[in-house]
Amino acid sequence: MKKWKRRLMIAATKFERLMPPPLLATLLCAILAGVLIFVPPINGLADNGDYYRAMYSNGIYKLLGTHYNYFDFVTQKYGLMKYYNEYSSVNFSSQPLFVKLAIGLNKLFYSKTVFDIRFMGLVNYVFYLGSIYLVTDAFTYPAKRWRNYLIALLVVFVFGDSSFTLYFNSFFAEPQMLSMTLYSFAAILLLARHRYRHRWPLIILFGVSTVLLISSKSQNAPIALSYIVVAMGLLFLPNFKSQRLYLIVGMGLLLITGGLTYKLIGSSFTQINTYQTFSHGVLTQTDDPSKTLRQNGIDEQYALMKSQDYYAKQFATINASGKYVQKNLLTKYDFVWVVKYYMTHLKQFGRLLDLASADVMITQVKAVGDYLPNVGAKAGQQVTFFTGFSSIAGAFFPQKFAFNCLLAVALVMVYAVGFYNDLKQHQIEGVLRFFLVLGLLSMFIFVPIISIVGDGDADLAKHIFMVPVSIDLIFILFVSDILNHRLWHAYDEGQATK
Amino acid sequence: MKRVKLWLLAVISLVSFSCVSMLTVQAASTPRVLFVYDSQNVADNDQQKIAAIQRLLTAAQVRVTTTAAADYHAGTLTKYQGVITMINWPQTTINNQAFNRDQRRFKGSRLHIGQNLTAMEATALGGQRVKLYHQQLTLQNQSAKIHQLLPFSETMTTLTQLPAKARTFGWLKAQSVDQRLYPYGTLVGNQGYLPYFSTGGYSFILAAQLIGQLFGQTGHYQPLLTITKVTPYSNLTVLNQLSKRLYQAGIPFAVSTTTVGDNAHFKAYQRFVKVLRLIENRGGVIFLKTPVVGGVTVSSGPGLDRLMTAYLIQFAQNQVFPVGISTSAYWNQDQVYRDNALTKANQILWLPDPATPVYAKQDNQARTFDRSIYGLPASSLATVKQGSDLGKLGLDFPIPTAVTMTMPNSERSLHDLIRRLKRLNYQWFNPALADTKTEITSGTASFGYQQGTYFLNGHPTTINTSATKLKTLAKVKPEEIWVNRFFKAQGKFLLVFFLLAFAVFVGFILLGRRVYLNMFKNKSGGKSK
Repeated sequence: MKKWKRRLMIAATKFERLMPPPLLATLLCAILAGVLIFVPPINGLADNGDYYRAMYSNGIYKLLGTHYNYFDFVTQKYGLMKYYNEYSSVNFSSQPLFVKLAIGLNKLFYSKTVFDIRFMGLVNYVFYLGSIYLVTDAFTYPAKRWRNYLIALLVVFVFGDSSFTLYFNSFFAEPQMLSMTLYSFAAILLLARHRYRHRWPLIILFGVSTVLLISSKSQNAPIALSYIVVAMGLLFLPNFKSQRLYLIVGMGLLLITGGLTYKLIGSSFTQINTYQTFSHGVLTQTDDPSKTLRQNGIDEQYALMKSQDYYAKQFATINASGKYVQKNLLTKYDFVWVVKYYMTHLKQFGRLLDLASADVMITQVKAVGDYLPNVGAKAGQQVTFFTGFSSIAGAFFPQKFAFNCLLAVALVMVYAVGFYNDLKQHQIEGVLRFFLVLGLLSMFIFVPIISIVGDGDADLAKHIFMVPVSIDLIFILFVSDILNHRLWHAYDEGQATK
Repeated sequence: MKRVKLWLLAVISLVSFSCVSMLTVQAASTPRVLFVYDSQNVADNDQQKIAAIQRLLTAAQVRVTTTAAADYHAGTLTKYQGVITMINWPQTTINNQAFNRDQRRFKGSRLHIGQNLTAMEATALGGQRVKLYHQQLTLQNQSAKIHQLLPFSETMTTLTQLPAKARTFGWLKAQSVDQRLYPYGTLVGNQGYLPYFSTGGYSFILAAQLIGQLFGQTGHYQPLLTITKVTPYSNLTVLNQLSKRLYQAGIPFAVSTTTVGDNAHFKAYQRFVKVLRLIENRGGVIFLKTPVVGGVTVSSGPGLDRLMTAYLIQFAQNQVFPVGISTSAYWNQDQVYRDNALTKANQILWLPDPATPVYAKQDNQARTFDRSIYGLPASSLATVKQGSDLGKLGLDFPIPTAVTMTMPNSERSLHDLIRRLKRLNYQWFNPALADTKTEITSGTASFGYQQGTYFLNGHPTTINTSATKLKTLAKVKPEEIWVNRFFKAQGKFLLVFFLLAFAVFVGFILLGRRVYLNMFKNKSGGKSK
């Protein structure tokens, strides 16, 4: 009996050495995502009409002579332009870097004329796996205990969810946003936990991934402010006085990136957002907006535009992108008008925020299909393989914005205790972690508000992508901190093994 | 009760059968024409010419099928009574031998529009080709009472030495010393020729005359004044004033408007339909404009059908009864649009195409309707700078025509419109005097208009200006399943729970702090004792 126990112990130590928790998490995610996106028939996301932004400026076009499916089915093969590309990039974004990389790999290994979406998947996949490794490492370091495997499995359960990995085979910017968020989160946490001897690689990793994240989509511009909060923690690093100047310059760079991303939105995008803020925001969640419009200086007839898209999905009463609307409606209000309107119609705004909260945990894009055509799937059919976390969270997470606020306050208070204790003990872990959590929570609260004010309830589920990512990260952090007894103070080997 | 239903069924089936047979009879009598063009020549915006010919033919009750010359298949022509060839890009020749051969052998009506008239075609017309280079030409009628200066032309082929039986439509006068006259439109038997085509002005009217003559549609029509581009978002005060001014001036008119299919209870919608009802009471008629097209596919048909039905039903519930549908001409070239929207009405007003038409399922198989009206912009008639002001001359039109003016959006443009209108010297067509009954059928409702009376499901009905009392239905509550109720309750419960916990938490902190402080106080108190 004893012999068996000893053998088991030896096997366990061997396993631990061969397969530490981060590696296990990465391997499991690799298998899960790999099966989903590489093994034919592949899965992915169908075009919702937004792909052209990433496609044409990068020289990818819809193959001629084939029926291109919007919404219903995933498209696997695209054409690569051979000659001069007249399309210029429609906005300032880091996404083309990733798409260009995928095109390069495609040209190297597959074809110079046909683009297989799996190469886009591959690029997203590699970045994603790296971030999974780092983030699991950050959650579990330095404890060498079996419960860390539990944390690794939790990471797989949450971030290995197919609702995230389905994005890989698409021209959406979300997969890059996911991995960049994980990188910058892991960098700060690893820094807090003294994972490596040198600090600068992690600080650079944080800076680069954050810049890429902020610039990946115009709607990410306000996130720059959240990351300024995160970066503020770095000012508390010990023996760092001489480098503080660099850090402040870095923070300035973050702000500039955010500003550029916001400023360099193409004018057509500004118009889309301005219009949909009105039709999908101001006009919704109220019985008859005619009267309030008149009172606020806009022709009441525009109330009839309720829920109209800027680009009509099928048919529309008036061309919203045409000159008439531009001249007679879009010039009549601006951002300040919208804010003032919501301030005076708080009940309606609250309803909109609750609507946003209802979508918070639904990460799977239900509007588009996940299957290729001709594999026997119905139009718009959804993948159910390994979507446990997103379905449970989607169903059970409370759908009230007020709850989110309370949750945020509670979490801030919990982590403030660690911050206070560690500050007194001259430890850095709790300090950095507090600012990290504070930054993520600010996204959790403000991203829905900004989405509503900035674009109404149009594409809401996609606009609040950063909300579930940030709350998922905090959730795992919270669980891992409890498991490793490091919630209230910095990790202490002696105490933890007690 | 059952018997009544049976009777109803019998009557309905009888009526529908007779309708169907009427349709087939009509289809047999309308000539079918194949319209062949060489190129759209989008660079010169010549696709508009193709669309204008299509509209013109439909308005002249001709069934037209359109094809590019390159797509023509041998033997196709035998199914048609006429063929029209249009050259938009004279620098190239039509290479499709099958078409060239079939056209040569064709015995029906033939019309050539544009350059590159072949020697064979000229011989068939019985004339000699004359090429005019670099000319500034004036188009006029025989007596030169009507004349219009044409844009400078590089090359043009006209005909001379025509036989005595040839009919000429308009003359081209060169600005040279001899001031020779060349024929513009030529018709010899069932062979026709137009050296060029223009979508507006006198050229267009003459071309319409020729085409009408060629396909046996001769007539004289008074134009219908039509206000286009009206939407629920137009300046309704101005629209109301406009209708009042026209009513006071005794001008019958039509309004082509889009609408919305929902939110009927909004004040904004009620205001919109009230203005439309006022128009109906002021001698105006309403055309329902088809919606703007976004991202449509072949399967958009049922959605379009539902939308059009919603438009019409919501209009009818508010006593707005359109007399027809107005649409961009290309909708007739598209199977989905035709079958799901246009066929609801028997009167269609054809408007020019937008800059980039979006098709759902283009098939170029236009059909005809009981009444088709060609929408001609008023601006194309008022060409004072280039010769006679056609509007002032008050010509009548060879096909049913609507002279369109864009909806003004301010007081100033309203005055401008009235001023321009006064310059047009037309005896305007009055829809209230028309004998033919217009009819729109949608879903379960049908509404018609004849001699100034509106019919709802066959019964005459009067229109009140005041808002009709809508039958307000009880709000349909979405079915609440227990799961949703559970989550709703759960959300509220958690909220309350957290609030409570929060309060307790704060209470504990305060309490603990006091206990903690008291600990010191007691100690110090004990020590001092």
